[in-house]
Amino acid sequence: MSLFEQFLQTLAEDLQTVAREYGREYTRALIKVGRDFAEQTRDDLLRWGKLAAAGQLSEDDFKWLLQSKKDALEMELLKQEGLALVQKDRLQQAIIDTVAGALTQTFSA
Amino acid sequence: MIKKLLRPPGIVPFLMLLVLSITACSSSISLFDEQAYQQAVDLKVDALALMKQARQPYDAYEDQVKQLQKEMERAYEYAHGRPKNEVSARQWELMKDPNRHLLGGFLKRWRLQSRLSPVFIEEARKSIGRAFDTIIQLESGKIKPSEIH
Repeated sequence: MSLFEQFLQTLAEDLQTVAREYGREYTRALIKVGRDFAEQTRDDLLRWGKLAAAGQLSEDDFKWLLQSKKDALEMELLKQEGLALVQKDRLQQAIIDTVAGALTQTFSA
Repeated sequence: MIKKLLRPPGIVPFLMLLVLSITACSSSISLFDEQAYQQAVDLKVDALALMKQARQPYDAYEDQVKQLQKEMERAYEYAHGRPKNEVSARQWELMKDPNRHLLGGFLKRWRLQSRLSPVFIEEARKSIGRAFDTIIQLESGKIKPSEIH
């Protein structure tokens, strides 16, 4: 096996590990965020409904809070969009480290 | 030495390192910024404290509201001015917009209604507090300069 083939083999194995690890971590985080937001929304809506029924929240206040939920969702989605970019940069950095590691391992031997 | 480097397979690692170095410079989003993080935390604390006063007449707190709006504008401009920071800037834009339903909208509502109900204030504080958290969490989730090799 040539040095370059050795390099490719080392690289492929290392990259598979990196991609698997980053993909799993990101998917897990996304699922958790979605679930947390849905649960939070359900709790808020139930509480606001009760407060409105008891006359402690006016109809106008209730509507305003509902609208704020929509804006909060937009903020959450922006956060996720930003964190996805961070994750992309982290993956890119990990790939660079992996390739550099494989290069060093193969060609400096 | 140059000849040796250019001779296959010597050229392969050299070219790959070159490509990697160029790629490494092209991040998708700004790095973590301590000042931006601190600004968001401080504004959250100040905003939630001032919101508590919204059961009192707006006029009595107008100066403090204007000061808070100025600080929020400063945070937006700071975020807006940082390269590759559009997502954080957009978050501040929503937060300060008087026609949306976050801090900017709350302050407008207070001004228009003069005073707000304690229950509404408490619920709005929870929502707006969480919205601030999304700004803080995005900033703290960014890659720290010390993590870059």
